[in-house]
Amino acid sequence: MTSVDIEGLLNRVEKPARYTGGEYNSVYKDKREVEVRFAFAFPDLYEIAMSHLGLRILYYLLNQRKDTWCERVFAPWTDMEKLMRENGIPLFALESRDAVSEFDFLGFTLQYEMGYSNVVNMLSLAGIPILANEREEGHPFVIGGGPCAYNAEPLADIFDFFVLGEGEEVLTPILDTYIEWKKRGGTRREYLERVALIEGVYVPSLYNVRYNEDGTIKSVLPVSDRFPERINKVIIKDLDKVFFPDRIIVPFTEIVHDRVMLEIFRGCTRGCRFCQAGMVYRPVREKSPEVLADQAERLIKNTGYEEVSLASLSTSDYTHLEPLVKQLIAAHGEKGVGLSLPSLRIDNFSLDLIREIQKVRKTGLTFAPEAGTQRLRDVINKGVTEEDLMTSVGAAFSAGYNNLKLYFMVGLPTETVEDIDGIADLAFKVADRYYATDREKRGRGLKVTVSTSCFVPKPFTPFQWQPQDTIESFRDKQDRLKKRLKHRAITYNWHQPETSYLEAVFARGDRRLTRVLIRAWELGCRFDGWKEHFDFAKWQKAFADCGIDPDFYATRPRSYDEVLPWDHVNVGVSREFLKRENERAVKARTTPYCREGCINCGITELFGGGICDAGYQNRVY
Amino acid sequence: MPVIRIEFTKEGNAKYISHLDLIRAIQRAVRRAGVPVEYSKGFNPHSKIAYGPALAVGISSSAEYLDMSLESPVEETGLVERLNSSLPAGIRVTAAKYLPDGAPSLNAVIGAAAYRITGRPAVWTQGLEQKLRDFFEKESIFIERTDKKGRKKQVDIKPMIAEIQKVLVTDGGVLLDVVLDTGSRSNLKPTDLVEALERDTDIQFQDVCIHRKGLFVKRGGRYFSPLELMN
Repeated sequence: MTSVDIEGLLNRVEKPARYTGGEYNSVYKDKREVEVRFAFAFPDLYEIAMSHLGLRILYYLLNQRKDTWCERVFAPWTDMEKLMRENGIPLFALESRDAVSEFDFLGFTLQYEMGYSNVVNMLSLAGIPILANEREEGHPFVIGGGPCAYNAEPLADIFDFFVLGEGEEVLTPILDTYIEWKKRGGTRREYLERVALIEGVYVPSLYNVRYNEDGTIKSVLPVSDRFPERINKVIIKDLDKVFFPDRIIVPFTEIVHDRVMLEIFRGCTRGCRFCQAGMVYRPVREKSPEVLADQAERLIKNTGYEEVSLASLSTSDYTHLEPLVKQLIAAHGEKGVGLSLPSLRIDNFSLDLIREIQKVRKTGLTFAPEAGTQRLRDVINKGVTEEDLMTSVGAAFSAGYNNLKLYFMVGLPTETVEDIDGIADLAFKVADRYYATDREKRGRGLKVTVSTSCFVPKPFTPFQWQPQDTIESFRDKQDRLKKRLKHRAITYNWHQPETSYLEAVFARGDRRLTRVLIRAWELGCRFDGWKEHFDFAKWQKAFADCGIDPDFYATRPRSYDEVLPWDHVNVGVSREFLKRENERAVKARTTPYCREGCINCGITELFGGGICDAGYQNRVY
Repeated sequence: MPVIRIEFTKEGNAKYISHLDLIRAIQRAVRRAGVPVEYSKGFNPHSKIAYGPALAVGISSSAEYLDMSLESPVEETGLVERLNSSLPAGIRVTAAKYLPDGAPSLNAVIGAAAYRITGRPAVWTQGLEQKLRDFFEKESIFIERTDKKGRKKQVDIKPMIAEIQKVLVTDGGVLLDVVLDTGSRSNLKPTDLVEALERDTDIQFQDVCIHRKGLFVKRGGRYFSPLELMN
């Protein structure tokens, strides 16, 4: 193993603590006593990477194995990258400072498309061939997981394989097979052919893609009938019994989510039609409050953190939320440990709950109506009304909150000018509600922040066939809102449409985009999720150089009979369900949420009945 | 409430963390150790811990200090052990001692810091050691500082160099042991000294390494550690 010496570099970079390792609870092992060196990679900056819950879980899960040492590696910021390249220092793991090129696995978690150029850059810094078919014996297996792995076709030529779904259990056969294969001294291809038979593993090099003349896909088929035609995702059936770490790394430097994240459930009972997470993380599986209270206790004790956040896709939908919150506050509130509840829904926001939390610490509140009119909220099946919002903000203002954030999307399917104006109207109504609140009760100085993101149609959602709005149209809508949201208490934030456009291209991209990605990286693209680094002109040049029209991926409507690049992946929700939902959407017809009745999304067909905690046996469709 | 003064190191990876990061790291270690630290009242309760002069990122130290207010007294040795089992690598408590009632704060008493500065000249020249000695024997050494209002002014740092204990040139490089004014009354950062040294001797140093050996209270021309002299 080649260890790097970075002492001379650390005094010359911003926040050297990003690169030192050695944080409290980080894991150190004797490298001579392990068989597998695993580098868990997150293609972004330390502060972002360390906030990721999946990393926190899998790091300790892998390190539970005596034969494996899992370390971390993140994208060095541009100042560090420059010094590393100047001094010939390869990408290294934080714990051992060994070059990751000599590891057995380099496992990326793929959370968002805008991190793809960093994946390429990290491979280049590591000295690992960027294309999978150029790697030889002795190179690590480059593997990927996370939500973007469900349609990882734009990265298919770069990765050796992907893990689809929840990694906790499937990593065991992947590593066991590896150790056995390594001892036998097999070829890379042999290992890939063996892991391809493990449920949840997708080896893209074992699948051939053929195209039609119009550029759409004709077929995606395995090279041999030994491999499955469709690759199923894997899930953990009982979250109470699955591994959850009782400690997490406590970074020296402040990170984005610098707190204990307690995962209360997976999946989502709601059926928001734009939301990929709500579809791909199904079914709903809750943890019991007893297990959660125990995990919280141990995590607080072992980290010293002063805040616990209840993590899920929709925290207020957790069945036992109120007793859990009361119990956690009773147990830890006096010791100054605060509780935060992100992802509260507008319609079941409980003032009592907020008062409980407020006893300890007061944080700002965020609501996400997502769309400005009832019609459009029905299109996306958000299922909340203006009345819900007004009741909730009224309660929040009366409880003394004066800092609210409102999230919306622009460019949703069927959107019109009225829907855009509806966003501004709603923001003003919220402000009016504040001024109508009793002066004695309300906090002083109202601050409403309205943020709009640009809608990106995602695979495995009912809107996967829908075109994205054009950059020009996004900009017109943002300009309209800028004019209409002029109020001393309202701040308006908007997303760069170019970023969302590129996200849309890669989200629904196919294998032909690998060339574009590598070309963009050659032109200097990296940290595309960061405003100060994103350079759209370079991306445009990359598309032109490769002769690929990005509009084909972003703004083109698809027909139902088109073969989509991700059709050979099965996340559980059926194509029929998604199609039905898309059709109901354009007619602005809502669909009940899962606790009101099973809407037959298909997930129970994949995993058998009884798996979904939303649990209703009565099918409404 | 009893107040205990704690002496600790900041070395290894921990030397790369900022003062703010250090404060957070200690707060969390205190919580993990279950030390009965006193918390302030209000919406954002914070532990009552006061720190000595901040250390710049990248400078290591073998003796930093903090004063911690406790809800109830705890036996010193046990406290040191508990903290050490909860602190991240690089931060180690070396001593703890209760303050007498009414003792002044760390920042009120600390006046000097001892540093060991090492580095290699980019180019080896004749008479290097003499050049260094000449620098320290100058009557005045001016550097530019910016005051709170953003105005630039020339400041003589020579009187802030309290002691030059060692100037050593070997094949491996240069080693300087110095004591510099540190604290609210007069303060000289070791990095400013190195900068002035490079400028006036025309020698560029590489791989400069600065280590704080200790912080001191000056009384009657002698130096005491903040644990030796608490009043």
